[in-house]
Order: sequence, then C-alpha cells, then structure tokens
Amino acid sequence: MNTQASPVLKVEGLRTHFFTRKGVVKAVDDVGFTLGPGQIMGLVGESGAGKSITGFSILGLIDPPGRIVAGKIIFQGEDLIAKPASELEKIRGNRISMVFQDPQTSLDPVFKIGYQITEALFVHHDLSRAQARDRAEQLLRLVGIPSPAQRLRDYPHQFSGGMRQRVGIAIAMASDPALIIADEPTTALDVTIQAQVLTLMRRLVQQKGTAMILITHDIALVGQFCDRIGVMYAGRLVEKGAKEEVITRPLHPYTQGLIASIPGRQERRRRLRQIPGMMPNLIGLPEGCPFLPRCDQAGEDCRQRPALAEVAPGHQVACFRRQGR
Amino acid sequence: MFLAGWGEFWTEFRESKSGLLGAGLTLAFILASLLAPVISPQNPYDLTQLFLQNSNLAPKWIPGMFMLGSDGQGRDLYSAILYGLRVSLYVGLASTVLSAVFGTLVGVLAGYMRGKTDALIMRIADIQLSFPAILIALVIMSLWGQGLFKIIIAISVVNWVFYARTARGSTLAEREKDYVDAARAAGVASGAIMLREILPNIVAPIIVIGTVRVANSIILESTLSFLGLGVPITEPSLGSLIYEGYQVLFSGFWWSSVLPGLGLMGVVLGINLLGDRLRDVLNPRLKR
Amino acid sequence: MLGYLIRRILQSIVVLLCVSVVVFAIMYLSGDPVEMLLPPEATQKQVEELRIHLGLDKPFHVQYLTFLHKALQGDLGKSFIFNQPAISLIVERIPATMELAVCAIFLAVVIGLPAGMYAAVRPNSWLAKSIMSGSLLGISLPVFWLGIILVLIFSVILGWLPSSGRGETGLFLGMRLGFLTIDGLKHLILPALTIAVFQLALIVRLVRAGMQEVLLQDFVKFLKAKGLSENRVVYVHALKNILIPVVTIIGLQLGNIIAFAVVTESIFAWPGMGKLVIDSIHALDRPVVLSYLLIISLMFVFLNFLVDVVYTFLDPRIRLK
Repeated sequence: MNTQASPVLKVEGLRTHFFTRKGVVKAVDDVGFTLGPGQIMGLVGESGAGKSITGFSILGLIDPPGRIVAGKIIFQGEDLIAKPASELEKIRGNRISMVFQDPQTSLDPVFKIGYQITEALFVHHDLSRAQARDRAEQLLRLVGIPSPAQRLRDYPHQFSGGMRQRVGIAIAMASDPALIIADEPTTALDVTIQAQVLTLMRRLVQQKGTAMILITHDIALVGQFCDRIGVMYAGRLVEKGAKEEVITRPLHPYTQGLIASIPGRQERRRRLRQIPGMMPNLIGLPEGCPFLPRCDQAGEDCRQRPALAEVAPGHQVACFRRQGR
Repeated sequence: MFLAGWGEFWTEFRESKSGLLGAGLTLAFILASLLAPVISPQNPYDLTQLFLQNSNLAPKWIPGMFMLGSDGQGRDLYSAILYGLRVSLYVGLASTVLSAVFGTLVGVLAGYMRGKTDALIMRIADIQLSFPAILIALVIMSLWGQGLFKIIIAISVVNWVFYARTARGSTLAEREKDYVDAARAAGVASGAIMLREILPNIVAPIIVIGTVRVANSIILESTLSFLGLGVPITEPSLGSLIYEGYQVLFSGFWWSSVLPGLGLMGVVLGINLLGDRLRDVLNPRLKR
Repeated sequence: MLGYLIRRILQSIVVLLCVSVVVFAIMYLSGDPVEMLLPPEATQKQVEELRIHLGLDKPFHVQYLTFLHKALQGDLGKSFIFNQPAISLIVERIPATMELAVCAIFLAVVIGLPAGMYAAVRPNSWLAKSIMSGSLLGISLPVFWLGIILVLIFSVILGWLPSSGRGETGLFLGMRLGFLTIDGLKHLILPALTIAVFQLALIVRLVRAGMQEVLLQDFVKFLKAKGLSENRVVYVHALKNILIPVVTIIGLQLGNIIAFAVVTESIFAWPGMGKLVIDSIHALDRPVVLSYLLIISLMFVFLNFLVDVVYTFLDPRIRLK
C-alpha cells in the first residue's frame, strides 16, 4: 500500500478530552494514523476505548463537556481543527460523511426518507427539486433498495433494520465523499445482513476510491473487510499496521487477546480465550501502560508509558516487550 | 437501597444554588407554620383580641403587632398569614401523603398484576386525567360544601392518578428484573414481592412526583378557598385570606390580598425549586 | 384510519355515558329538589304530588333513563334563579369563555415555543437562565393572585385598563366577541394575561424538556454529520419532532383553561360559563351546575378526540393502515 503519495487523511497526536464533574476523561489521548484513497482502515477496541470519539473528532462533532485539546487532523491537505464551524459544515456530509451504528435511531422519525436524502443534497449542491429527487432515487438503487421511487415517500419506521442502514449509507454516499467514517455500521443488524451491508460498503468505496474508517469492536470483521488495522485501548492506539500483519502476527498482548477470542480460528481445538479484567476507568489513569493491570507479560518497565514504535515494516506497536527492551 | 446513596445524593444535590434555595425556603416555611403560635404576635382566631378600630391598618414594617398591617376585622395580618400557612401546608401535605399511598399501591398492583386489573385501573385513570383537576375538585366541593377534611379528600381524589401512573410504569420495568424473578422462584407471595421487593425500588420517582404535587395541591386548595369552596371560614388558609383581601382591594387596602399571596407564592416556589432539583438528581437519564 | 376513527368515537361516547351517570348520581344523591321548587308553606300532599309528577318516586335507573332521554333532546331543566332553560344559559356564555381561552393560549404559544426552544439550545446563556427562572416563577404564581396583582397595578394604581366585564362587544358570525372593539380589547387584556402566564410557563418548560430530549438523540448527530447547520437541525428537525407533543399539550391545556376560567372570570367579573357556574354553585342553582358539567364534559371529550386525531396525523409512526 502506498500511503506516502497523497493521504486523504492524516491524524497526528489527536487528544480529545471530556471535562466532567468527576474529572478529566482522556477519551482520545495521542492518536495518529494516515489513510490513503480507497483504503479501509479498521479501528478496533472495546466500547469506551475512544474509537467513536476519534471518528466524531474528525468531523468536529464533539459536544461539551468534550473538547479537542491537541493534535492535527489534516484532511486533503487542510487542518480541520483550525477551521471555523461554518467551514466544517461545508465539509461534513459533503467531503467527509458518516454512517451510524443504530439505524433505528439515526434517521429522523418524522421526515420521509426522500426528504432526508435530498436535504443533504440541497445543503451542499445547487440542484433543482427534480434533479435532487432523481439523484436520491439513484442513490437508493445504488445501495440496493427495491422500487426506490416509491420508497422515497416512506418514513424510516417503514423500513427494516438492514434497509434503514442502506438508507444511511445512501445519505453518506450522496455527495461522493472522499472519506466515510462508519461507526459500528452493522452491530445492530443480523449476522447475514451484516455481511451484505459490509460487502456493499466495500464495493461502493472501492468503486469510487473513497477512503473509509470502519469503527468496530469485532476484530473478525476488520480481518474480512479492511486494509489496515488500528487497535485502540483506553484512548490510545496500541498497535497498527497492515491487516495481514496484525491479524497473523499480533504483537500487543491486547491484540493477541482479541484475536484469540475470535471463535472458530485456526487452532480449533483450543479453548476460546477471554481477556481477563476490564478496561480501566479513564479518569485518573495511571502513568504507565494502560493495559498493565490485565497484562500477563508485564514487567517493571511497564510503569512507564510505551510509545508506538515500528517493529516490522509498516507494523507499529506500543509495548516494551515487543520493542526489544 | 434508596438511603444507601444518601451521602452521594447530598453531595450532588448541594451543587445547585437554586435547589438549596428551594430546600431552605421550604424548610423555613414549614418551621414558620409549626411555630406559628409561638412567633405570631396574636392568635388571629381569638375574637377577644380583635378590635374593630384596628381594621385595615397599613403595614408598619417594624416587627411587632401590625407589622404587615391588619385586615377588615382588625386582625394582625402577619399572624393571620402564619396561621393560614399552617392550614395550607397541612392540606397540601396531608392530601399528598394520602394520594401518594393510595396511588402508589394501586399503581404497583396494576403494574404487577397486568391484564384485566391493569386495564381497568388505567382506564379509570385515563378518563379522570382527561378532565382538569380543578373541575373534579370543584364538583366534589360543590357537592359536599366547605370543610378541611373534605378538601383533603377532594385533592387526593385529583392526585392519586399521577402516582398510580408513575408507580405502574416503574413496576412494569422492575418486575422484569432478576431479583423479582428470584423472589418469585423462591416462592415469595405476590403481595410480599410487591411491598418488599418492588416498592423500595420505585421510591425515587414517587418522591419526585410527590414534591411537584405538594406544590400543585397547595395552589389547588388556595384556589378553591378563594372561590369559597375550600376550607371553612373558621380555619382560613392563605387562599381565604387573599379572597377577603380582594374584597377591599378597590378601597386601597392592597396589603391584605398582596401579602398573603406573596407567602403563598414563596412556599410554592420553594417546593417547586426543590422538586426540580430532586428530579435532576434522581433522574439518571439526564445525568452526564 | 377509518377503523381507528370509529373506535375512537365509540370510546368517546362510552366516556360521555360514564360522565352522565356520575353527574346524574351527583344530582340524585345531593338531595330533593322539591323543597327548592315549592314554597315553604306547601302541604305534605303537594310535595307528594310534585314528587310523583317529576318522577322522583321511581327507582334510580328509571330516573336516569328519563334524564338521559331528556338530555339528548337538549332539555336539562330550568334554572331556579333565572327561570330559563339551563342549557341555553350556558351556551349563551360559551363565546365569552372561548374568546378568553383562545387569546390566552395564543399568547402562551407564540411566546412560549421560541423561548423554550432557545432555553434548550443555549442552556448556559443568561437569557436561557432568566427564561427558566421566569417559568418557574410562572408556575408558582397562583393564577387568582396574579389576577389580583394585575388589577392592582393596571386598574387601581395606574388606571390604564378596566378590571371587570367585557366592555363593548361586536357581532361576529353570530357571536358577541370583545376583540372587535377597542373597549372590548382593553377589557380582554388583563384576564387573558392572567391565564396566559401560567400556560406560558408550562409551555416553556415542556418545550425545553422535549427539545433537550430530542437533541440528545442519535439522529441529531447524524443530521449534523450530513452537514446541516445547527439552525436547520433545531428549527426544522427538532421542531417537527417536538411539535407532536406540543400540539397535544395545547389541546389538553385548552380544556384546562376553559375549566380554570371559573377563577379568572370570578376575579374579572367576566360574563362567561365559569362565572355563571360559580354563582350557580353558591346559589344552589343545581340545573345550571349540572348543565355546565355535561356541556363542559362534552367539550373535553371532543377536545381529547381532536387531539388524538391530530396526533395520528402528525406522527407518521402511529399512522394506522
């Protein structure tokens, strides 16, 4: 993969903190990665690891008490963090769009689907009513919704879960964005529909050369659909690299745990493993490696925080055990 | 279970100035009404202390007799307000306790039994709710005539619905939880499950509703008394005082209607502030 | 949809029948009207004859059916005081009460809706905080006392506005309405304001709470992710979402205002249904009180029906086949 040429997105040292009554939650703490056109990057981790917050940070949709406190988000050569809100509005839904987790709740229940699609078109493009309607119909056909012309007049509750998520994807694709952030797009769907929706998304992304960030807690899904993987833990990226590298040779103890817990992998006879313990509370996180309390390979030096370092070409990990120390 | 979090509750509660103000106001008014016989310069019910030459005196604004002026019968207004506050608070609290107990029990029963019991109870509640509270109370009072006990009953009849609905909703949610299943599997009788297992877990929303309803009940009582359909004239509440004051408003004696009203507003405002804060603290949904 | 409408109408009729039983039971239990109708020097024989003549010797259910039969023909007896059919006394006064109620709710919605939305969108601004404090004050003010204060300020002290009656009225669609003349408008201001303040406070609080709830939902984030401006999210999407509960509330509050008119009309000597019924309660003019109850129940049941129907039209999720 050639990410050097001209990356669509380059995130550097992103820190998004929430200033709550009980203390500062460092939901995203020094996260960086690069994404080229047509690439799909999987962002994996447990809930609360900071994956979604990373996604929302890129879109500039962090609500108080949260705030991006440091970092750069270079999208097509421009730093989004430095941009005023009105500029971001022009980018959102146009050059970067998002697909949400729960198709039940991500569409406005009291507006027709057609309205919700064309609305996104009108905001960003100068279209006539008829043009927008045609485009909406075309989009629904693109995502595989039968008889699209009629369905434009339906309300969200008249669609099944999978169909509703296709509508969400259609809205995200409406302006041919350069980047799509998909936040657990299939978690709320049945397994069979999951595969359909993801295959559709991958096909669309590849056709148009769109970059995509797939946020998920399911590392198996990432293995099937992504080019690159970033593993997040307690607000930090603990491992990232090409898919094959990370899946076949996971280096961080946490990634190893995640992969060992996938049912039905190579070593069939081995018992399914679980990572013991829980992710630590993000308030008042100790200085050292956040995974320390759950790690079976830790040593004294883990009381300091390990940084990401390259241990193999294109494969970085934040663990002293793998960095030859 | 509710009391276990008391320390945490208080830490959070005191963060809001308006909540503290509400609690303070409420407490102050309750104390003032309890201590009325001690702190008021006059017993306003004692006719031997009233002299007609003292009628409609303007407020003197200095502590003592006629600090807030006097009414048409020469009664010290400050004393009358304190005693009126007693009646108002008594009616408000008594009717709240009565309707909360009845409404909650009925609501838990409906939510736990479901089926026909539930349908019947909620049907009645729905029909009653489609009629304004004041109308229902008005019908009852116009039928029975004035009376302290009668108005407590009338207000309770109006209010039981709110508790019943809340209790039913919470019970429906609680009865699906594991601890109820466990109790049922252990052979605990339905009545015991309702009273000992479910009831303690739905106290918080009932308290929130209760606070708001106390304020409402006090206003309802004073409104009915203002219309001459509330407490008897021998035991005037703040509403009755305001009515009497209104009769002499156009003669320029503004204090005998305005000042009791300020007292009424103060106590209701205090309870409402307290209720708002309780709702915020006890409602986990709006928490960050 | 048609099935739903029919079911809903049947429901309303059942409710009305229940109400009529309750109202009749009240009348039945509240004593013998014969004593009211006959002079005190009437003999025992005259009393008996009148009882038989009025059918009061018959059992409860027979009397109820007779009552129902007459009620359906619009005959609810004559007022003891005015010696006129009770029902026409009430109906005559409906326009006055409705005028007051509609003006008040109009004021409350026009101010309350934007204020509540603002308070939800900018909860930390000083204006939002004053709106919320004001609304708390508004729901804590006893309506009758507010009326008195307004009278004191604008009539007694300033002498700007009249404090009683409706003033001059104009004829509109066969109804006497006050807002057609300057004098009528002047008379309308204080009572309408008195009612509106509480409703305004209530609407502000409901709108704010509803709005806060809507703004927390996922689809709001999705709308922003589509690139919609905050104004569009709030004033198009969130607004339509809260309009459903708000319309319901307005409908139900209209009923409440009509009932609450008994208070306001008493203070301002407003010649509407409310003042009439309070006077009739004090004068023990039972037929008028009962007619009032039946007519007002009819109005509520109708309002509830209307609100439900409007609700199904506004909310696509409950639109039935």
